[in-house]
Amino acid sequence: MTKPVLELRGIQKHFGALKATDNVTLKVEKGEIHALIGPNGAGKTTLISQIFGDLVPDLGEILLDGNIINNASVSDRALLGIGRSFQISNVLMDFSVLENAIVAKISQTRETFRFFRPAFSDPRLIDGGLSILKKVGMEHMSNRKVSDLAHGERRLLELALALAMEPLLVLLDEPMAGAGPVDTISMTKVIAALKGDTTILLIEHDMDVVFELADRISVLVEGALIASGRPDEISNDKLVREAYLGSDE
Amino acid sequence: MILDLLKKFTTLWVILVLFAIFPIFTNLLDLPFWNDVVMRIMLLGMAAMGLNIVFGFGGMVSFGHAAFMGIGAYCAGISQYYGIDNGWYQLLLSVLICGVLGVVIGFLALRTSGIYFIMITLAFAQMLYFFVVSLEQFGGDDGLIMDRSDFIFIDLYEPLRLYYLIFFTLAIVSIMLMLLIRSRFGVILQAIKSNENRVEAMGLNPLKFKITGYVISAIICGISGCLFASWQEFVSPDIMHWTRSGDLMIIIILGGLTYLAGPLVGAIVFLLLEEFLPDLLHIIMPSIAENWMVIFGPLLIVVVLFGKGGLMGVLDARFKIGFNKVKT
Repeated sequence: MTKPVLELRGIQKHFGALKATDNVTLKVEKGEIHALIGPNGAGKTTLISQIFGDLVPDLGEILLDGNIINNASVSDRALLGIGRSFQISNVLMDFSVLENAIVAKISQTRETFRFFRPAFSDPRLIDGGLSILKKVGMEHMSNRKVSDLAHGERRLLELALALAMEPLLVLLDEPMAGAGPVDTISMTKVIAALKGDTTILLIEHDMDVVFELADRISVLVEGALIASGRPDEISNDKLVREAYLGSDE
Repeated sequence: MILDLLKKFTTLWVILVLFAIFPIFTNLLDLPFWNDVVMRIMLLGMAAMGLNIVFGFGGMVSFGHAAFMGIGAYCAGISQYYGIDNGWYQLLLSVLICGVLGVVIGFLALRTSGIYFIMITLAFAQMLYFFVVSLEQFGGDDGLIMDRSDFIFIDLYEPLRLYYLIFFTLAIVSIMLMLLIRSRFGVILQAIKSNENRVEAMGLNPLKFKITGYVISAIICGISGCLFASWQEFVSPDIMHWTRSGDLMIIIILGGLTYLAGPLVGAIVFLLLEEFLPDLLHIIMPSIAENWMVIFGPLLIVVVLFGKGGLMGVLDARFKIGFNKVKT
């Protein structure tokens, strides 16, 4: 059996008396789309902040590809292979679409301390940037300024930037947040196309999207995992129905 | 590549060419005083360009860069006090000391941001200012009278030698910045200004780039200060008074902080106004000539409020003749 891409072992995080993360143990296997769902305030963002490195867990271990990364900084974790899209669109607003991708490409090549040759006219970087955009179907709008993009397009660009580092794991924090129905459909398509090649941990409120995309679903309630399994198992799970989806009776 | 730079940074090249040929006119019209004014413009413009690396491109509001000018000036002054007249040595010393101080101050100050960063850079600058004031041996408050430094092969007491030394230094700094700002490093620095979180999520450590930018800007201010000492033939703590840090920031904002040529344009307008506004007022409104700042201040406010992007921004919007912002 291969190593899980991401493994959480007994993660705990307290804010004062509040247990934001309560002994969470979780495995994300290679190539799967693993959805993390839970009602508002369940501690989803707290949990992924710990995976990404914004927060440090009080207890427990975070393993990426078998290596403990508890003490790695945000930028180190990005280098080790965690790509991320944020809950709020987080792209370089003053830059064009292609320039965003080129900056991502520069950090991917890791040749960052170059002080003389112009970056935005470097054919190698332009090609690299375009291929990053191609993954999400944005290459035709490469010259547009990000500040002129629609919300859904920005989200797509952000996904492209998260994928640019060819990460082992991509964290998508509510990629559909604030997106209209059309955006949601195109975004879902793009994510579905990544299935198998890219390991994704998806945090999402839109249950239609979750059940369409996810290979496995974990349910977080009040900081603790109450269930983890295939979508059909989850939708039939009694605890989950009560705690989250709402009981029918 | 040279052709490319010529095309991209038209304004900057035009200004440099004007500086280069300016002494021809002062010579013809016998107005050597003007050379002095332009030397001052070039020196403060150079320092402002240096500051703009962190201020305009990196989005770090450093309120203490005059301190680096002062350090550069005192490197010249103190060296000469001990009989080391060699200007090249003094320049090298300025670069080294400002570089080291830039690393130390940058390393500590860049852990903060926003208002805290402004305050901590100001605090460091004040520290250095009072340190220099306390150096009784080197004149303390009264400063240190000195000769122009001895740049071997270039006798600064020959006419125009100092002018062209300053000019070529400015030209070299300008060309380096043209390259720097479009390089991978420059692009990342501007990306950090645009969105630090995103850059971090791409696997880059923003602090490294910010410190590097800070050091480069400190060094450029140091070079400017070192030459300033020869121009003024006098070094005093005044050169690093906090109001000069403010002047540098005003120069940048006046000229346009998102343009490479912005600080130079700002320096030209700022210093010409400073030089001639009092005289002008003497003629039209003698009653307020003493307090020419009364006019100067509102003038700055108007430019900042209505000219988004400073004077370069106004020109850019008006003529659209390819003034290039620094990013591209």
